[in-house]
Amino acid sequence: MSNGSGKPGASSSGFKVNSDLATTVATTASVLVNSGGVPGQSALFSNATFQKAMGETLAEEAKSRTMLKKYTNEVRLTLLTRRHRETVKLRRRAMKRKDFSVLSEDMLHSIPTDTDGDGYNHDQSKGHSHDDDNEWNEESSLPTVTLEDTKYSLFQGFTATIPDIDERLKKFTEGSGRLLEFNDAENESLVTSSPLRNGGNSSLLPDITEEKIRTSQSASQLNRFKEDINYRLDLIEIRKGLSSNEIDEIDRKIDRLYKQRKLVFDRIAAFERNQTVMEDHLSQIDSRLQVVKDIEPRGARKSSISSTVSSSSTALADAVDRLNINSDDETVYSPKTSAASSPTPEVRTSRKHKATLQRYYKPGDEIHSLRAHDAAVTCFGFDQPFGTLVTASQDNTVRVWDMSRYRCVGLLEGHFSNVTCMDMQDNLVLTGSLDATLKLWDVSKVGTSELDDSGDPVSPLIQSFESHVEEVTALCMHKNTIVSGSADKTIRQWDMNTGRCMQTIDVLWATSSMLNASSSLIGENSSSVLPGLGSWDDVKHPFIGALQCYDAALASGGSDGIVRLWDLRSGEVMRQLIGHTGPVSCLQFDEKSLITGSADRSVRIWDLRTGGIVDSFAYDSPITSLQFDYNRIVCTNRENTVKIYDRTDEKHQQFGAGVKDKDASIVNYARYKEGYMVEGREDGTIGVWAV
Amino acid sequence: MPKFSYLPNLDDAFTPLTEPQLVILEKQVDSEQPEPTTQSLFNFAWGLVKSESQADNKQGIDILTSIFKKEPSRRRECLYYLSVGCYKIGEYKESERYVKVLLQHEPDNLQAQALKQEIDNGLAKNSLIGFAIISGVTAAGVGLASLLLRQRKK
Repeated sequence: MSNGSGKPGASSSGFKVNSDLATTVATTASVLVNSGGVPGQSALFSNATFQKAMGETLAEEAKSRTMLKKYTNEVRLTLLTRRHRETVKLRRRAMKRKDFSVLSEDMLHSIPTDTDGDGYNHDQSKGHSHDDDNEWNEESSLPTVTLEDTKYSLFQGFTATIPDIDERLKKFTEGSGRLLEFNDAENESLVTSSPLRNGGNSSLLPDITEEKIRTSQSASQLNRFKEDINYRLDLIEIRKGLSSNEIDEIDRKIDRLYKQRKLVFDRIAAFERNQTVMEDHLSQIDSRLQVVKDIEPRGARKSSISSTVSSSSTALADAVDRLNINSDDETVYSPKTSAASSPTPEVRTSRKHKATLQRYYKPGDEIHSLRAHDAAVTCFGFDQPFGTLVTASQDNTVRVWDMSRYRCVGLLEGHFSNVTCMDMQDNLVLTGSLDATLKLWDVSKVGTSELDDSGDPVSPLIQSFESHVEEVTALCMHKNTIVSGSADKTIRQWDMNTGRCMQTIDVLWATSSMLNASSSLIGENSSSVLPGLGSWDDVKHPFIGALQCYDAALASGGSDGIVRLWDLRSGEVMRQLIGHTGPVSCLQFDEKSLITGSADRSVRIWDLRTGGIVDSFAYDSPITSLQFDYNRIVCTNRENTVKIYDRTDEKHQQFGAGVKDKDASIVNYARYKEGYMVEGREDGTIGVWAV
Repeated sequence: MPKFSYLPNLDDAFTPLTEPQLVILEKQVDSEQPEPTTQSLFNFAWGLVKSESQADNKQGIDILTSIFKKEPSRRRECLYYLSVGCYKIGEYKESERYVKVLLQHEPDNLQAQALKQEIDNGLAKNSLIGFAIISGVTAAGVGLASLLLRQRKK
């Protein structure tokens, strides 16, 4: 090899006179040995390919083996037997003394036949490029390949690359052969990787200039030019073909990788399913354990009592024993009391897997959809992605869902009519209903087998708030503050613990006093707006359509289209934001901005400090629900898609079933958190999406 | 003669590349890891087959077989390259096996026919030599045995 550069053609005829007898004998012998039997050989070679793969994964396997040893004997056993077989094969192969890979008979005969039909064949070869040996044996699935695919042979590609390599080498040697430069050039070639990257005219045809062609007198010289150019054209043609081949190959690789990704993705899904099942078992065991524990320590306590009786002679011992009893009491009753007092018993939250799969959904992927209700979904809330979802529907039910299992855990029963609005804080759910009441629930108590003192199942209902006289249309819960708005034209503030109404704000009175104080222009404006707006586009809009509170700050929006900012301490309107021409149906604010959606089809972003409009955009239909964070604004607007506005890119996107299926039902409500969006539709379906 | 023949002649396999050329080809493959393109792999493999060292040739054959497995569309031409490679390292049986299959699919391939001819020559030569060795050994054996026998008789 080392002296090969000096005499390229020296051994060109070497194969004809292989005078070295010793090597000939040796090779002949090996051939004789090897050609012992064709079937045996084929078996061996099919193994050989397997072996190669095994060799690569050997280190990996050893690692996993030590790990598996800890857990299951069976796995180890099977692995060991496999290994054993492998070594046997290896030994057999070594005996045959083939130190280069040879193709098996099966492989050899699975050669694509020459037929026509372009697209089909192309696809076939695509599909098969990544398969392993076993599948070649299936005659039926043999790919057939057209000449189109292999227009240029690999060898032609090779010959076409050689001049390029020579050129590169020449450059290196010319460039004083510095090693550093060599590397640099090498890197550059990796990046550009195109054979004729510096494709100026001069370097394309260094010898043949227009000048020469014009002035040339000899036919032979012109012919030589012609030949030369033709040669170069051929070269370029081949290189072009090669490059296009390469692109095809890359496309195939991408396809393959996508398939691979899909496989692994499914695997994660399976793992999570298994985790779910196991966790179910675990929680069952835990609850059973609880029962067993409740029985056991009681016996222990009895024994300690008896011991006190026997050793009550000295006061000291008595005191000590009383201490013991006390501590015993604590251990006995602590689980019970903690279960009763803390809203989330530790048993249930003890072990729940993290949803890994979610990260690998691409935006717009449907994670799940389920038929939750028989009638339209009105509102819902969820605590965290894949956590607990509470849905309310016009079918008069409120359901609690476990979104990691997509199972209905239970119902929240107590309202006499539809639930129209809802807010959720961890495991506390506040619902407001057409029956004029608000109810606070603890969803962690739903679906548990726990019993209260009287032996009835624990009711999830914590508190009921009853003093509105008409339907509750909007509510908000923040920490311990609960605020609700009703069709009786009042906003009430409640005490979460006692259920008593702490403050009632009559909106009309509060605003009229505000109007009297402010300029007549606003007064005229709103008085003209106020009465007529109860029914906008034939839909009755609630007097108070949306509420949000934060400490003492409260924002409300309603059928008059005015967004009001209240101070809960004084119960007075701090500021009115006028701009919407239709009823406000939804709003949300953070520390900087307030975003409102209205039946006038527009979404407006207000600056909380100045009260001015920062931005606004409009959709084709009235906005029904809205939620935003720093990155996105998620809206529903009586269409079958959820509209998402990217606040950083300022781009509008559509998500949901309506993107693909034009007949999908209208989306009524949407909520999202950390790239996990849930939408509820008119037909009672809940869809979960990655966004 | 066309400048770029579809398949290499047998001579081509016996004209080695220079060491730097081979290095560049190898680097190209390395740079494309973990998924080198077929063409780069082949370039390197063929460079190895052209090499004068048998170890290189065998490595080249290994790569060629892997290409064969990976790329169904390249199988037929790969057969030819493999056949040439095996011929070069003197594995005439393997070489013959490959070229036979190739000829089944392309009976009119002149280059394959020529290669087959060469392989047959090689095989014949080998069998002749083999025969010579065997006959030589047997002759020697017979001679020895007879010698021994004679000595015993004495």
